[in-house]
Amino acid sequence: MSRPLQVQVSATRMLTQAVREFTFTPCSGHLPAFSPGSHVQVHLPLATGTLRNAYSLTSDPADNRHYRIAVRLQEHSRGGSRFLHREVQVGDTLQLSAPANLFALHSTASLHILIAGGIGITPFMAYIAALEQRQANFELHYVYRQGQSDAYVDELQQRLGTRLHTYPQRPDLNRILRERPLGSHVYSCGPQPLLDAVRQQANALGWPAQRVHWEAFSAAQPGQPFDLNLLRSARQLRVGAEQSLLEALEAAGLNVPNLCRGGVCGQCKVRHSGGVIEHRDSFLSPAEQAEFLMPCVSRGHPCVSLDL
Amino acid sequence: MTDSLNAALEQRHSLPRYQAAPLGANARQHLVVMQSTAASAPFVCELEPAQVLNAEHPDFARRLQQLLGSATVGSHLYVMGDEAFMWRIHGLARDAGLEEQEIDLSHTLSGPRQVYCVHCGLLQAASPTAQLACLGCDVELEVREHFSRRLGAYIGVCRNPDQPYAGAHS
Repeated sequence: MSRPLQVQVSATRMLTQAVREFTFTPCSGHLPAFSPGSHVQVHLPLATGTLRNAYSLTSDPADNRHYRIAVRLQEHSRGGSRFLHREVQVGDTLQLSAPANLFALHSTASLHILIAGGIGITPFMAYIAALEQRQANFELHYVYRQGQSDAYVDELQQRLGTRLHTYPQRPDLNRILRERPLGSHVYSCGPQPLLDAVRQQANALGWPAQRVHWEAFSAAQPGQPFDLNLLRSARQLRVGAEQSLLEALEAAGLNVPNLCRGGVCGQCKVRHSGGVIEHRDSFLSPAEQAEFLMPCVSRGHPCVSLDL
Repeated sequence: MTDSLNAALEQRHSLPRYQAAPLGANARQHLVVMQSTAASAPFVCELEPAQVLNAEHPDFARRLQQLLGSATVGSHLYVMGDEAFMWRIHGLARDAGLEEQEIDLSHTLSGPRQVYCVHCGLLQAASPTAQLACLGCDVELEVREHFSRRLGAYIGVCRNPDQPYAGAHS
């Protein structure tokens, strides 16, 4: 894995009551280029250990002088967003993992239909910059709660004009997706029920899966503490209630390749044998889950044995 | 040829593979393009609703353009005929925005295939022989068991670098 990037927080602003935007500049040199839809893992030094949360880059991919992310405060999560909202100040130094993209634009689409729910607008901010530069045909459908999750809406209204469609609640997806020209692709990012509804509606209208792109923002949820038995290295570890299995491995110096840290990309797949596994990923098929687990989100009890 | 060699050839990813059964079960609209009445596959009558075009019709090119230009997502295309015909239509359909998964090719007629000359870049219909003289540059081509989906053609390369030209030049 490449070394983390050292960045300084050069600006912050509140986009809504619940969404804070951060601008990062490199401590030295330039930041690596990224493609629209990329995310970075932000390393968060909490008192209970380092959390790594993935956030979409919202800045213009053509500009590598800075990165921007927007973070929604999640009161009932493990404290990463709380730390970013309450502790991080302009001038602080943070570590980021290099950008990775699990939600890329389709290269030959001739119409891009973007559907954002709340903070799911973030990857689309980079999309829009790139699509405008390419003079591509696109439209944005943005569902938000006024004052809470309406980040960037004023800017978007000015920038996009009639390409922007806003909704106070779930839009009529049939209307958005029916009778679209052959080069259309749809991208959705937001809460899981919205993503499910888009996929369901697209499927009902005969859209093949290859035209339907989505990114869930999911992260590890806490659970009960449990034990780990690492078979190949003959080590025993304990996973804390607030910790993910992957974080416990990292704390013990075991670096498992990973990208999304939310159970969707499949990078950190590990073979298990023994213990009751509580699969929380949306990547493995039931047949695969019999053999593998995703340590970024999944847990188990009382003792899980891993092929590590 | 041994069975294992035979199996290896069948699995070769450098050759196009054609499905035995059509794929577009989820489609809302079926588009059928056949080279001739004789090319029609038996499943055509089961496709509902379907728009059918026959290349024997004198106005075929314009109708095809119209069909692809007005089709919407949820359409599935079925092409029937010889290899040269199928891949020519496949290219037009991809240009019109159809995805690979929305195009079904039924190889129902024997006939020419498309060959791409790597020396002059000419795409040409040719009978399925292993060797031919390129219509563009007269290089004697060996047609490889290597197919480009993008070009819809088999790749032809110079058979003998010491004596590259067929016919007139040699």
